[in-house]
Amino acid sequence: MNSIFGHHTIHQFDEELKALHNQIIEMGELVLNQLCLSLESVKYMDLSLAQGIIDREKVVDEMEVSADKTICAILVRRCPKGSDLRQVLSASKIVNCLEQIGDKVVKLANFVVLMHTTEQVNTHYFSLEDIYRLGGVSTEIVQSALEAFEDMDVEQARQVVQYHLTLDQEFQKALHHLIDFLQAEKSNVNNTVSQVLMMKALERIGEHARQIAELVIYQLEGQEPTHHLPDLVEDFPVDGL
Amino acid sequence: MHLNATTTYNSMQTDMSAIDLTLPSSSLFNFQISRDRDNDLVAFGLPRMQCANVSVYYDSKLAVDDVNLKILRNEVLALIGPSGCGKSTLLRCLNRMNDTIQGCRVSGKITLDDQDIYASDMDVVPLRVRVGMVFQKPNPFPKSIYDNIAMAPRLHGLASTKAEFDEIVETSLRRAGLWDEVKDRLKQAGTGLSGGQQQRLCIARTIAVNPEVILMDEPCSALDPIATAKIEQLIDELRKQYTIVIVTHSMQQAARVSQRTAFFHLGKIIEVGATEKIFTNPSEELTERYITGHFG
Ligand SMILES: Nc1ncnc2c1ncn2[C@@H]1O[C@H](COP(=O)(O)OP(=O)(O)OP(=O)(O)O)[C@@H](O)[C@H]1O
Ligand SMILES: [Mg+2]
Repeated sequence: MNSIFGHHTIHQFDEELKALHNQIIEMGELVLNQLCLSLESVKYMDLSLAQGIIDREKVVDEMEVSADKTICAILVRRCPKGSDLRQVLSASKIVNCLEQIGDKVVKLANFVVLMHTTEQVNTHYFSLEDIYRLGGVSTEIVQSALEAFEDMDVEQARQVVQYHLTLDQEFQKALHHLIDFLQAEKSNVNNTVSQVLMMKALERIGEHARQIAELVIYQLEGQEPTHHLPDLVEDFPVDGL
Repeated sequence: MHLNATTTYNSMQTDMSAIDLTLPSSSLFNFQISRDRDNDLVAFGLPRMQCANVSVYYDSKLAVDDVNLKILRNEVLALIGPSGCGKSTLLRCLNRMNDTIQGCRVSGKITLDDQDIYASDMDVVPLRVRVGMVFQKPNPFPKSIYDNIAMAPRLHGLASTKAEFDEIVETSLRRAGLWDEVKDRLKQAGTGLSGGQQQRLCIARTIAVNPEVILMDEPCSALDPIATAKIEQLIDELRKQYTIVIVTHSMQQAARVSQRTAFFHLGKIIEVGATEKIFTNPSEELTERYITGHFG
């Protein structure tokens, strides 16, 4: 950790890089917190909690703008090279990933608000365990990716990339359940669509967290992130929604 | 650094007077200097110049330590590294500018298209036509702008009629991006130009003899950003036809103009590679420390 902010001949540059790192940690903490709360708001259909999350999205956006400014200033003032350049490039992309996670979190919260404003509020029609399980995995991935970033831990980053595969499996499993649910006429089309959208949001959140982990690896080792094609699940055409 | 600039400047002057004394003799040339060199004759990918186990001593002081380096055709190769690491010394070896420095000893082998440039039968005058040099400090001759350009081609018999000389002068000045600024005062002294203009004049002078390799030692260190940009643009254009080795203290400049970069430290080459790679993800810790400003 110390080594990445080792001493530049220009000390102020060390400070700027450290400040950028901390800015991202702070943004990450807020986004992770929003994610946890959104899952709770879904669980308890808690309207005020959901509205709080939507309000706080402004703060996430402000943090993104502020991090972008820091990045821009470093690029202009320091023309970073080598690992410094990789740090700034990664930072810029990670901020973007966090902002995307924030957006998806708001989608989840919006859903709670929607449930309260429509007549047919009935969570009975949802297979909520699937949402919780998927949410649990996503949260873990986000948390672990942020830890890998905070400690600049390449091993942990690799584990995140690996662990992300679980999320795909959970997503597929949840889809199967949902279809069963629908076929048994325990759910209606409206609810099913809502549920798929929520599941997809959680799946995207995990995907953004995986990207964060890959950017940590890039920053530390200079290895370009790979672009994964989604694994084809042979017998299941619904994959790739 | 100041010392170096003065030394090279003096040695340049010595060379020019040497040329004055021995000219004009076509027997001087060991090889042909043609105005339209057929680039296709040299296979792509073969190094234009090659240093093998090159070491340079100033008396007993080792300044360049066992350097191996290939310089590819049509590339701009940047040499970077901390002050005193031997960049200028190595650069001067490439056209034997070191010959005139007292106590300077070069060992190892340097070839230009497989010809050993330190071979006993190698004549340095045509060598320095094939491998031209632009110095840190612009050093126009105390003559007219026209003569600054026309002198070397005249010396080497590259043209005979006035029209031919006019053409060389105009083309060289145009390529150096200076023509429009000086076309109405070609008879005025080259020393009366601004620093940036003088530097472009020196570049024009260098390319007037149609060299194959151009060596540049911090060519922009005294120039403003616009003049620097013009020279960088020129370097990029020249690359299509020539091979360029540039020593620069500006890593931004190295990143902007070169395709490959070599990092020197204490007389040794630490790393050579694609410029992008060197500046984003160098292989050597020492390079990383230098480019990120963690040095010393
Ligand atoms: N004419 C000379 N006589 C004795 N020593 C010299 C001479 N020229 C250079 N040196 C020494 O050789 C070493 C390499 O010098 P050189 O000029 O090649 O360095 P450089 O990398 O070009 O440095 P800079 O970036 O400051 O121009 C230095 O230690 C220098 O003091
Ligand atoms: Mg030098």
